[in-house]
Amino acid sequence: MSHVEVGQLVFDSRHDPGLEEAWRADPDAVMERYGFTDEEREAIRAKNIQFFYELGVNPYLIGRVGQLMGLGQTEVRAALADAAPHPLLPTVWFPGPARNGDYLIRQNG
Amino acid sequence: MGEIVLAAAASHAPGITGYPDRAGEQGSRFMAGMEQIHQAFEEAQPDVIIEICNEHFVNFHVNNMPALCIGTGEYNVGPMEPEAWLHIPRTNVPGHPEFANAIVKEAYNAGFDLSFSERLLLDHGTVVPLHFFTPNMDIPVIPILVNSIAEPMPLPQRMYRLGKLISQVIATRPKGERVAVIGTGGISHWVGTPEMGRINVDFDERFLESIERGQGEAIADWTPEQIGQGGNGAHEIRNWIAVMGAVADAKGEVTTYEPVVEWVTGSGAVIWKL
Repeated sequence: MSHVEVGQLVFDSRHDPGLEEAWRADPDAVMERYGFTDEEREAIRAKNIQFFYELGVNPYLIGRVGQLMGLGQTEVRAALADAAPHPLLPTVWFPGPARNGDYLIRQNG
Repeated sequence: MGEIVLAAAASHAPGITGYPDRAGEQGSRFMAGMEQIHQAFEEAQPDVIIEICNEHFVNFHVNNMPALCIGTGEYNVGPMEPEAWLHIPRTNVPGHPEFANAIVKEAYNAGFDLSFSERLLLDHGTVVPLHFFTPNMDIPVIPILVNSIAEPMPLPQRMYRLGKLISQVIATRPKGERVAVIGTGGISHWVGTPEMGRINVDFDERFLESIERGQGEAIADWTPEQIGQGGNGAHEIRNWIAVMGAVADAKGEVTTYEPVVEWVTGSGAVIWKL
């Protein structure tokens, strides 16, 4: 199990409404089908989005993982505030005070 | 020969149509800038649009991620997002198989091994700008999807050369064929990271000023680290860089720039009047 399979679940759920319905009805059965580990199942139950970010699920899919957990965008952002750097993002991200409301960067002024 | 009668680029944040009101006056100014490009489309009357956009894990996942994929089908379908959320009805956007396949063949000859798809799913990335530029979605669109979401990604220089290749193919097209080339995405934004919502205004202004000076080739030399200063979403400027290659560094005109926190995106638009 890895970020690939988690991402695949998200990708598949976008194309298969039945899969999303199945997730809503019985997430454990879907996680079984996709081979989630016990740790990952627990992270889903605990709505631990930070776990999946640090696992390496692509950031473009993180919001959708949050949706599957029932989290909105604001909740996802708050939950990621203390996340470790994403393992697959080698470029610089200017970590800083966005979480405190400073959304506009003006390095020169 | 065909000719590029118009080129443009614009941000494609889903909030632009999904929740425009949240952006208040910033949103109104952004819409006015998009309307300028719409008017230019009305005047230019293109026969076909080549639209460079990035994939968003709609057609491809990391188990099969092409660097570049062109839509060669009779039509493509979009947007995939619910109309209730994006406020754009799903439709079959006509394609242009003969033209698209000409690009593929010429790309092969030039050493570009483009992937192709005869049926792409379109999402906000392609459809939001089209919604403004050609609201009836009745002009054939040849989409080219770029991987700017999953490392490793194609180099910006490669995108610039793709744009040059597109212009070369247009030069071989039937006399009088009128082509619009558009790129969408960016500018600075952070997607699914702890910095989500942040906007690097300096980055955006530097990018747009370089476009106004006609310095696309120089932008194509920006390193991934430099582009990363605008967040992981800034890698979508690859789509604009291809347009700059297609117009051979003609000077662009910024019609709008607004750092819209509510859309989590430095939101801009540019037109090249050729």
